[in-house]
Amino acid sequence: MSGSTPGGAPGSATESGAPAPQVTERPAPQQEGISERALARIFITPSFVVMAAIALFPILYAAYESLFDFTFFTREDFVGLANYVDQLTSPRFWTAVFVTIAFTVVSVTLEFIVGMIFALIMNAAFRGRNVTRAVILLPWVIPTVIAGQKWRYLFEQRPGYINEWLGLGAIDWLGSGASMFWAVVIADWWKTSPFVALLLLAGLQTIPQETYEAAKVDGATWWQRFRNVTLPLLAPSIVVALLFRSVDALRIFDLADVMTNARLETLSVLAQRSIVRDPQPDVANALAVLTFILIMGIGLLFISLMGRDVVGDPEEGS
Amino acid sequence: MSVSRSQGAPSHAASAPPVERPSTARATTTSAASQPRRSRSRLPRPRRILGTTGTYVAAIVLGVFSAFPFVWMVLTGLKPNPEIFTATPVFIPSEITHLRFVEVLTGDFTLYLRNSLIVTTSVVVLTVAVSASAGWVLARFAIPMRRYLLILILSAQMFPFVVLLIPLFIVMRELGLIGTYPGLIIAYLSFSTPLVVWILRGFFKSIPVDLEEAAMVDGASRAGAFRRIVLPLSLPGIAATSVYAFIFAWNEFLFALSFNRNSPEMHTLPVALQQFIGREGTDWGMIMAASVIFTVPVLVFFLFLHRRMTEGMVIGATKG
Repeated sequence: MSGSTPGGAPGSATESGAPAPQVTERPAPQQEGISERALARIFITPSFVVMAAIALFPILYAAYESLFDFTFFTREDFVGLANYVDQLTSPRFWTAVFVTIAFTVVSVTLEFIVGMIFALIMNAAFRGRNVTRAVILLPWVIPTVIAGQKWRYLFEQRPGYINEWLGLGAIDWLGSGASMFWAVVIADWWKTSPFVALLLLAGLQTIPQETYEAAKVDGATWWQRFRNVTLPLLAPSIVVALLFRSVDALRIFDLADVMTNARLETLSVLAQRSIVRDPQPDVANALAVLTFILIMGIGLLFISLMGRDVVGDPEEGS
Repeated sequence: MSVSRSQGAPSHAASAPPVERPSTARATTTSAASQPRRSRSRLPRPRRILGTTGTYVAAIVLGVFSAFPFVWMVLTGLKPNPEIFTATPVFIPSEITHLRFVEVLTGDFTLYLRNSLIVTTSVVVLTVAVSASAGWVLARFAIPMRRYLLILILSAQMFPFVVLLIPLFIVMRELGLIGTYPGLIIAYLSFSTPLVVWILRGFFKSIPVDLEEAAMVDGASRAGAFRRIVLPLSLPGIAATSVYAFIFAWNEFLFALSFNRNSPEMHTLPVALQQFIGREGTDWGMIMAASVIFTVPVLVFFLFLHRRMTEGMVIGATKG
């Protein structure tokens, strides 16, 4: 995939400067100089070149390498799909899939709710709003490794703040199982809600104030205005925020690694382990490709369910 | 911007039956349509106070929730060493030591700060430039397979981060970019671009094409209309996505460490921060002091952009 594809059309009309019928929604006044299609191509090329070099190559590389057997980092025999079969028949893999998906569903839901509240507050006018906006962003700004350490100390068994403050005795939150899962969810919830808030805030700011005024005049309560004005107009931002959060949450690694010493095994934790802690590139590559397929599948499902107006054509949108 | 946005407060929703609204409000609002700037809230006074109070209470509660670990970091950075690890947690230090902050700021800190600033500002500027142009094309032009292009952009974010490391390292080594600023900048660019393309595309789509066409009737080129009409109207989106790109590039650790492993003079702040952890036992007081200083530039950047976000809102308000 190179820069030539995105410009798109197999076109001899490209250089001629003739307004091809499908280029704009409406025939715009044709300017002298470069054609619209050439303009589009110039504008879109840089991002796709970067994407292709940086994103596509690693994926193809991993996909290729995943077909071989490895001893440490030395590639040996071609083994076809054997690495995949190994993973797909391993209970550990399926547990990781389950943990990853559960984590994503729970944390993205919680982050969306709190992010929405944050965004509404950040968008409200009151004295001290600037400071509040900055403060709300704080958790996202703190480096994940440091934040993970802080949360780890909060949940720690012995000098743990949470056990101490809530008078819970010596509960080993990060020891195993469900409590470990929830501890990481809470930390991620705290850390990433501001990100959702920022995306939703940007969307909120495009909603014309007059729309609210009109709804208010018609006697709409706050909730009705939220339901019938804010949510529909915010829908594109919401879909983008949920999609990117989900894609990101499906790759959760840092917090799980720092807080639980990688005992909470998500797909990325498994992949990281097979690269760093216990080098098995064949396993790592197969895991990466499987993770990619999983996330791509979920992403496509998500887009086909909710994102019609987000990825749709300009003709049908807006 | 107008005060009327205070209706965001969740708490005044339940207690406010719509009947309370004075009937004079209707007349006022009809005229307000012609002068959108003067859109003060027409809520009756008690409700407005309730709404404002609700906003404040919510803001304070959520502020504490967000700020708590940061405050804790500041306090840990100021604590004398024996109080950092204790059987029962000590939250408020008994005495204050500012020496760690001094120690962090002297030393090599300025070098790493410079590296981080160069990389991060380049990433922000390039991300916005590259993504805005791509986002506009994807919003306005009927490109074949647009849906799949959008998903392709996303695909970079569907791969476990660690697994990208080895192939990317190979790419960068072939290009001779290991241990240079452009190496990191290009890598970060590819991670920050997808989200920004998607978001800005949404903003551009929400701006009526008529505005662009009007500008073109007045003699602007298509690209000129984009630059003079569409971009300014999208300032809130550009500001928000800049903050996103800034925070991402500012915080990234894994690639910064691996690409510059053999050139310590190129290290960015997160890598420098991490090295406090390994050095002769972990000095948590130092790490916390360094982390606090580490977060300050992001907040400065955000407050700087904040004005832009508000300006965008004003423009947005006049367009309706």
